[in-house]
Amino acid sequence: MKTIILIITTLSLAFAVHAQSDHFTVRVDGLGCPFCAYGLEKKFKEVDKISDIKVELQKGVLTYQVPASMKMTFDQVEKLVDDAGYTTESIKVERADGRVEKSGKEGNSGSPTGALQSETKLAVSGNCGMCKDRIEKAALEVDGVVAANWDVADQSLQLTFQPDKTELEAVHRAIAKKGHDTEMVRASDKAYNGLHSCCKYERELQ
Amino acid sequence: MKIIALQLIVLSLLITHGILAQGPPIRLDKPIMLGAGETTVRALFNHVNSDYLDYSSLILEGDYNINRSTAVGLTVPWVFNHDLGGNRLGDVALMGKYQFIQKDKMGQSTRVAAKVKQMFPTGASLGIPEIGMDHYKTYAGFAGAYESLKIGVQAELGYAVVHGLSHHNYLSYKLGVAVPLLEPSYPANQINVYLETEGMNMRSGEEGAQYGYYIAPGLQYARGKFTVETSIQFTVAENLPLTYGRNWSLLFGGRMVL
Repeated sequence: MKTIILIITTLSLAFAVHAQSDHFTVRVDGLGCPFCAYGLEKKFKEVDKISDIKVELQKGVLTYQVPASMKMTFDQVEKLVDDAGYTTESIKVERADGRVEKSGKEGNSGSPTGALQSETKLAVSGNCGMCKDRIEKAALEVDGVVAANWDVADQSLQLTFQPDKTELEAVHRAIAKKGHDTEMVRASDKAYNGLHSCCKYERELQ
Repeated sequence: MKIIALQLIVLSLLITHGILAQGPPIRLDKPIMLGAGETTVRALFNHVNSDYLDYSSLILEGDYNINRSTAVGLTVPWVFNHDLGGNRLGDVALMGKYQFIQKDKMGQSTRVAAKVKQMFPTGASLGIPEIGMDHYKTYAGFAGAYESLKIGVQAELGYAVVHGLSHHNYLSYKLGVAVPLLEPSYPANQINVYLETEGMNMRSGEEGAQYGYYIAPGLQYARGKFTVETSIQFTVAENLPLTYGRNWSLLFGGRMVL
């Protein structure tokens, strides 16, 4: 019984701490190798109370959480990234009280570096997890694209972008260039044939 | 020559078909620094075969980043050769580097750094660069790199002044290409293949143009913050003073980010 109470207490405390944390998602430019990611992670680890630091090298994304009481600002985050030798592309923070703040390309919250952004859904053909990585990466490489999430079941790409910077046709072309048909641009046979065998979807879109 | 051609072909194939990431160069310098306050240490065992003298050396290097764009370094070679009367210290060098160009994009970075290296004649009087020049030597140049999740290219161009021996001053240039063999991941767990080339030109002497061209395929394994690496350098063409010449050299080493 004591053990159960102890577990419940521990879990409650853990949830309470988690709930009082600000969750940061930072997109960082310049992470060209694992050693770069190491330098970035180390710089954030040096800050007391930052926890759950993760670096997704392929996406150039750093995530971590800090106690809400720290009230960590975008400037502090940018300074840390800068000290690590890299460039902050955007910052998104989910505050403990439920507010979401964004900066850079992520921003529409009126922050100094904020910018308007729109969302749309594009039909994109693909087959698997490799396709997902390839499609999202191709979309994110287009200037102005903030977020991309491809759904295999729905065969669609949820796109968040800055309308003043992004030409949607460029997104279609970038994805088609990698071998995936979109509702607007059909991939060349050469690009399609270059896909890994598991990525060769049935071509339907014209 | 066939071996070099084969390596070039293999490397070309890897570059055109790989979707990979790379680590730090083996024989070249890197303009990308890992943040303010970071320290990197290296230990390299180098064996050189030349017509003048065969010797081995253990080169200890330490780099410290004063800030995000400025680094200082110390190189201490320890030379092993019975003909030199046993093991002894080589030419110690101090290095300063300032990164002045940085263009970052998602998963890629282009950097250029200015670099100065001062070597001190703490080694034996052999006339061999880095080991025992018997002269102060100052090197100034630029190191540049393009690093991405697909490929790494490093280059270096500089000029070395040998004080009191001006006809030994030389232009130095290096180019390296890196291709990893494993999918990029963090923490690091990857094997990288390198092809690094090196050239030097001295002022023409009585024997005509003086030059040396070298090529070095290499292999690097990185796990976490540790890296082990090896490369073998071959002479492609050479017409240099005897003490500068080398037939081949074998390098084996490791590095760690503290």
